[in-house]
Amino acid sequence: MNIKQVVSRLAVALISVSLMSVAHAELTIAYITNGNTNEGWTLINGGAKAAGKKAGVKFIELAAEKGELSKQLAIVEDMITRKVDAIAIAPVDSAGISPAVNRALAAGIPVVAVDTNVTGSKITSYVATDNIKAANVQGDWAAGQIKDGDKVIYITGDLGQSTGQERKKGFVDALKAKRPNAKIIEVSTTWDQTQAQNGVESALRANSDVKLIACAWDGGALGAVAAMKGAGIKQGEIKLAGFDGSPGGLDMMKQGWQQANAAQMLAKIGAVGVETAIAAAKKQKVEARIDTGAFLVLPSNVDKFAKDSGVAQFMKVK
Amino acid sequence: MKYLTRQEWYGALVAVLVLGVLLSIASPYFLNSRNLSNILVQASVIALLAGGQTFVILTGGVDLAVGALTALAGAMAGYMMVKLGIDPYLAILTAFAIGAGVGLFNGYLVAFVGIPSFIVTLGGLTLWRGLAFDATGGFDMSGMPEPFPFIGYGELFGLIPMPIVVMVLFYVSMSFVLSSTKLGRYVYAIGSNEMGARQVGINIRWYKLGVYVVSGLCCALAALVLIGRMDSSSGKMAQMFELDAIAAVILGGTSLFGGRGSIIGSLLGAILITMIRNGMNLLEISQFKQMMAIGAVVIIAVWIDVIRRKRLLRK
Amino acid sequence: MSNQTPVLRIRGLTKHYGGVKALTEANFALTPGEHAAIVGDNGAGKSTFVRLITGVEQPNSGTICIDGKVVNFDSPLDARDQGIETVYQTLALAEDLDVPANIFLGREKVRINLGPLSILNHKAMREESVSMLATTGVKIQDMNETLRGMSGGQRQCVAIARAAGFAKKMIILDEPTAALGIQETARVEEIIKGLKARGVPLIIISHNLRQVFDLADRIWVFRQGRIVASVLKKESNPEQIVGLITGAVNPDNVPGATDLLTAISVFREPA
Repeated sequence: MNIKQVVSRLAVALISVSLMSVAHAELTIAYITNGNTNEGWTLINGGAKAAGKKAGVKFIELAAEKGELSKQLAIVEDMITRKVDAIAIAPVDSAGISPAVNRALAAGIPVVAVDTNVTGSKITSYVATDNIKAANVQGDWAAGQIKDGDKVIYITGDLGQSTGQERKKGFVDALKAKRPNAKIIEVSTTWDQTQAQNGVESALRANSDVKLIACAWDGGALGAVAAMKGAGIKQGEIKLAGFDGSPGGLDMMKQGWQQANAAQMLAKIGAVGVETAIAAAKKQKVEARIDTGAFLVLPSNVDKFAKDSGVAQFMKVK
Repeated sequence: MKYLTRQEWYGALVAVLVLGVLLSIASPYFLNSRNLSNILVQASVIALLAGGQTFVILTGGVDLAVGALTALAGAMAGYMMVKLGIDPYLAILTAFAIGAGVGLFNGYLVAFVGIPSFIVTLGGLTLWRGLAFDATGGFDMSGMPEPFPFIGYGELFGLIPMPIVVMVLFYVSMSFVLSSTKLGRYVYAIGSNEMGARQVGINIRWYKLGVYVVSGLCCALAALVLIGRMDSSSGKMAQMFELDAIAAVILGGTSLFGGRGSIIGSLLGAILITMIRNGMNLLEISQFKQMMAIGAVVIIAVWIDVIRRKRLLRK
Repeated sequence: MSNQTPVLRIRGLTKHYGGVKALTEANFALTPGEHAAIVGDNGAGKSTFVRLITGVEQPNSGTICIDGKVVNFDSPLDARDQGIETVYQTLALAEDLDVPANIFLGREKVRINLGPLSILNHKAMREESVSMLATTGVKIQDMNETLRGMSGGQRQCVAIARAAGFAKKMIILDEPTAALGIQETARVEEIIKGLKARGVPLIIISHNLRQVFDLADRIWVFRQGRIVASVLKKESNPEQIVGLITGAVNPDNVPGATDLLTAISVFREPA
């Protein structure tokens, strides 16, 4: 390639640059996910995308490959360069994304955190399920199923993380409010289904009179069901309260294993996240913390919930 | 001009320029100093890893564990500073010690025991990442003390971002080592003709060991820049960076078969990969298509390398 | 034996690999300025002999004397330090490096000695390479080009120039023209004759009897792991050598063929 060619191409490039920057007028919203591709995130991302479409903005969806923080940092930086009007982001890491988020805020771009908060930045808004409130619903239901003094197994998530801590606190507080003498046997896990299964197996061996099992997430419920099957316990003999409203959780309910599930409104998290970002881009005032709420799924309303929330598409038991 | 065209990195330079022109045409946001500086900053960590990887690949080996070792060195340094409150400079020293130590381990197994580098570092891929999680209890650290915010986000003379400064200094010294020291010369000699290098009396075992130590130290340096940039550290960081680093080296014209190549090519390769990502982000191309594109680029680069080698052998 | 102290004297050199007798009781001598040829069928022990005297392998028994002093080679480096330069069939060149880099490979000139990070003196190496190539009569057009761009003959010339430039005692050439064409072979032979004129002792291993008779003063015949005969070129002819190699001619029937071998075997080094 000779120098002339390079120069002429650069000239063409510069002209098209100036033309295109004039043409740009509508709102542009960047939705940056954490690269998770599981069912829960598919629902959240689907909600976000639908909200973007509905609002008629230019909607850019980008993801951090393999959940790699440095790639997400680069994407945020590139979106600052891209001069988007607002960013909705599901951080790979609450603290790690903060330097890039601060740069976006400094550049005057509002940033809305979706599902996971950003620590160390004054973000525009944080849209997610309030874990404590949702777990309160779960604990309140559980209290209604047992007598005071009964034994309950609680399968925790990772107690090193805020999500795990909040869900446990919400459940325990609500249960103890009505049944102060309920005995809670704790099975602690790091969001690991096998840990849950092993823990429940030994807890059941030591306590044959357990009345109810509650879980910090639906994967733990799958472990609990496996443990119950192993111990020869039938559907409903011990009541099971799930958390998440995941397809697997609702399948368990249809099969009779789960009697209640504190469902997160996954699609709503994504949708409200993007709606909030759009509002912020239009310089409207937005709440700093938005709770997308929880819904207590029961066998009586499971079909309607599955259909309305979009979870049904992933369920195996129709 | 003739000097230019016969360099191994000539192709990479052309690719960077052509892609630059194409992206300038395709996106109005590409061609401005802010974005170009961003690309260099984003390329810095991969470029540092690619620099060490160049030494290994030139000897005919490969280091697949650079991502995992970066995570180990970074997670340990972060853990020491944030959790244990140890002096940052002591943590920096520890990171380099970890890099050198793992390099010695890899190099010993490859050069003295005779296990193929592919196997040693494939094992290291999970070994070092596992150790990173285990040693730090799996916790993420955030809020790095000085000088890390400066390394990650500071600017020299309020103008040039520090990661770029680190990268440039690194490449200047590494290209000197490769062109003008015994180590550099023997790296090429071992990659060209290992048996011959032994026959002329080069202690190839020690020099092979040396290249893995160089790669390990580069991982430590990359880890320090990375935790500065992220203001946090964890065992999860630097996932799959080995692929980007190896791709950068190959795209830079260094042969996977060893002996042929240059360090400047690796820098251009790292910039090229980052430009591809940056361009696709600006053009709003989805994650899955980006993964496909990077993978395809790597395959094409190796393909070109194989064709070039066949042509050379025919000669 | 001649009245001159040989540059190289080898007595009773033996190497057995388990039951395989690769080399048994080999006796050999090289006088100053002499060009000796080693001939023999495949598997006759030539390669083992070369590996032993260049330090690549170590003998089971026997002695190697250089200038009358007994030496032990633990590695090729030891042999090289004693002034023995070897041009291997594989040449031991790095194709991806240029000519000066190859000539000084393994013994680079440095500006500052920092171990592995010693800083190379490119200028001095380039200048010395030019003069080394000139004395050997090797012409290279572009010193900056890597060896990949060069022909087999050119590479062989670089390897011989390197050996000649550094050899303090002698050069060993292992099949130097086996892979070359006619013209290139002639060029390499010219260079070897040049070394003869400069009085550099040399051992050449070759299958090409025309070449052996053209270049060597003395011919050593290997057969079945032993050195069976040592004859002066001017007292022999190709038919006789072929006979000795194949065993058709009994060395005892060739006048003078075993005299030197016997002389070496009874020689005792002064205490």
